[in-house]
Amino acid sequence: MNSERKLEQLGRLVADGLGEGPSVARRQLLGRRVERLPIGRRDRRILLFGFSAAAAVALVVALLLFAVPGQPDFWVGELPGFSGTWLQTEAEPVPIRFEDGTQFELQTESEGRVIARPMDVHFALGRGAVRAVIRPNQGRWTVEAGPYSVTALGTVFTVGWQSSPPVLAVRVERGSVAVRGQEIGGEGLKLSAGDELSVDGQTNEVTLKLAPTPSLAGGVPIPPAEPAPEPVKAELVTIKVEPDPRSLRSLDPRSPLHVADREARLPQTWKELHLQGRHAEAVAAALRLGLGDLLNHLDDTDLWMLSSAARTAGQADVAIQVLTALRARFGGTWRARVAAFLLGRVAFDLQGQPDVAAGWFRTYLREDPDGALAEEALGRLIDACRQAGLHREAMEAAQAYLDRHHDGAFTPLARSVLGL
Amino acid sequence: MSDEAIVGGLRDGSAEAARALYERFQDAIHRLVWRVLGGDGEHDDVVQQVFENALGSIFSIRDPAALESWMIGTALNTVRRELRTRTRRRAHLASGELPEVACETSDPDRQLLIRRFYAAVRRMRPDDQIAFTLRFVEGHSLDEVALMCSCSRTTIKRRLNRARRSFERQARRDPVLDRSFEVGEE
Repeated sequence: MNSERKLEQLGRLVADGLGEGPSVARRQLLGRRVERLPIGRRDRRILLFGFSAAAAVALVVALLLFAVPGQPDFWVGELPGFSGTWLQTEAEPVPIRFEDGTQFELQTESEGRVIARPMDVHFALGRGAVRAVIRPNQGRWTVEAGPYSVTALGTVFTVGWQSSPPVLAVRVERGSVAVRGQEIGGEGLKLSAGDELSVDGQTNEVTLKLAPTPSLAGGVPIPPAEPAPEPVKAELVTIKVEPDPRSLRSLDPRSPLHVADREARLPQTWKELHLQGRHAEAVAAALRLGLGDLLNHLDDTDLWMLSSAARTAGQADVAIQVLTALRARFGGTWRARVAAFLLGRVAFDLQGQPDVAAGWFRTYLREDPDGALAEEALGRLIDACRQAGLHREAMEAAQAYLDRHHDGAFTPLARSVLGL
Repeated sequence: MSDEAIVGGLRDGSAEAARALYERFQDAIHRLVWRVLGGDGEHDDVVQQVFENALGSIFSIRDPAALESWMIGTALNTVRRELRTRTRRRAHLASGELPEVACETSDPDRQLLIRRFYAAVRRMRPDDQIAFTLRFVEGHSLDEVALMCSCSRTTIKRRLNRARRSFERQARRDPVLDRSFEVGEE
């Protein structure tokens, strides 16, 4: 049978199993949403004029016309706002407030929309700028700009974005952020206070300007918080997005400021190589500086970055040493907990030791049972136990997984292990 | 309500016409998006975007009698944009992560096969994914796929060849897919 026929046969199997669409109830719900969509406008873009009296009336009309009924996901000024609706400003910034007190401020001449999911809020920045004051909670807050994303980890930072030519700029003022994107790599890059990152999407040039000394004490005054129903339990977080990323302090690698800052902090070479995607060379450069010394003196951010370089380069031994040092020196932090998970990944993916991996996944689950990686750790624990021949443990993990995640990424594996 | 009446009503801003448009095309659009994207979590948003785009550009349709093909074209353009956005963000996804797929079947083996299938499909270029799923999952002929995608037969053949090579490469690395792919030879 030729390839065409085999694919046709496989396609039919897939089509039969997949069905023809969602449930009738979902379709009906969607039908009601469609009925309320604007006619004759290509996008649901709400033009925000600031808050003069007349403009407020126009905004009310716009929101009533375009909004989906029900509880608002957030408030645009004093008016209800809904996830997915495009917002567009002209001459004045417009505040977007969330129930927990978090606030975005869409700057002038800007466009973006909030995608609010349970515990996971994204602000998709189409152009221009957004400034946010975030109250850290159990949820995750991310600003997306083109193919990049900047995730708040409890911090004050600035993101700039222009799409043509594509340029991303990130400046961290307090705490730290995780930046992800194509040139930066799927593992992402952790930036600390004082660090500035610039990515030119056209030339694929990534430039990192490191702070002279790592510090969590940023100098930016925190804006007054909006009234919140609950006392703030953690530090306030501010995300500022400049209209023009080139307005940030010079990130030109030829500038004296840039060179001076780079020289102010050693070692820097391995980081630059890592940022350029030359992970094996980055690890080699770090080893030349003396791994033992680095393990004793690098801060948690840099250890994290070095472990990422080693894992990406496939150098399991180095990754293990770095992650172990991270856990030893920064025990109790979230990085130390995640390091346990990553040690499991190294053992499983790079060393082919599923029994060792299972131990580390268990450690992560014990230390952070409700952590962001808990579901994945539990799923990988099933796989690791299964491959290690630990059938009883695999079944226990599978049952625990199904008890918590009915429709998760590892549900088929869990069901298969349990013979369901 | 006829297609011409739907278009006319929409041009007058009628909500009833919007409801009629959805009723008329919901089966086709849901099925198309479901099969191309693999019943993933964004399905409802994408379908809503299809209708949003259609309603937004209803004045651009020249021949109201060709509403069906115009809607299919709008759906495929929307899906293509969605796939391109995903391609740009693919670096964010953990490697080896299987896509979420809402299956009708309760057979875990079949579910796993479907997830592996779409994991392989998502490695293709957006245009290739569309051509591939229309051809092999939806079961359209080469000419039908060309018509739906507003492309020449040659272009679709080229996309399908590229998609097939990509899929076969992935299948060779995936025991589940490889086994299913070889079933036809037994």
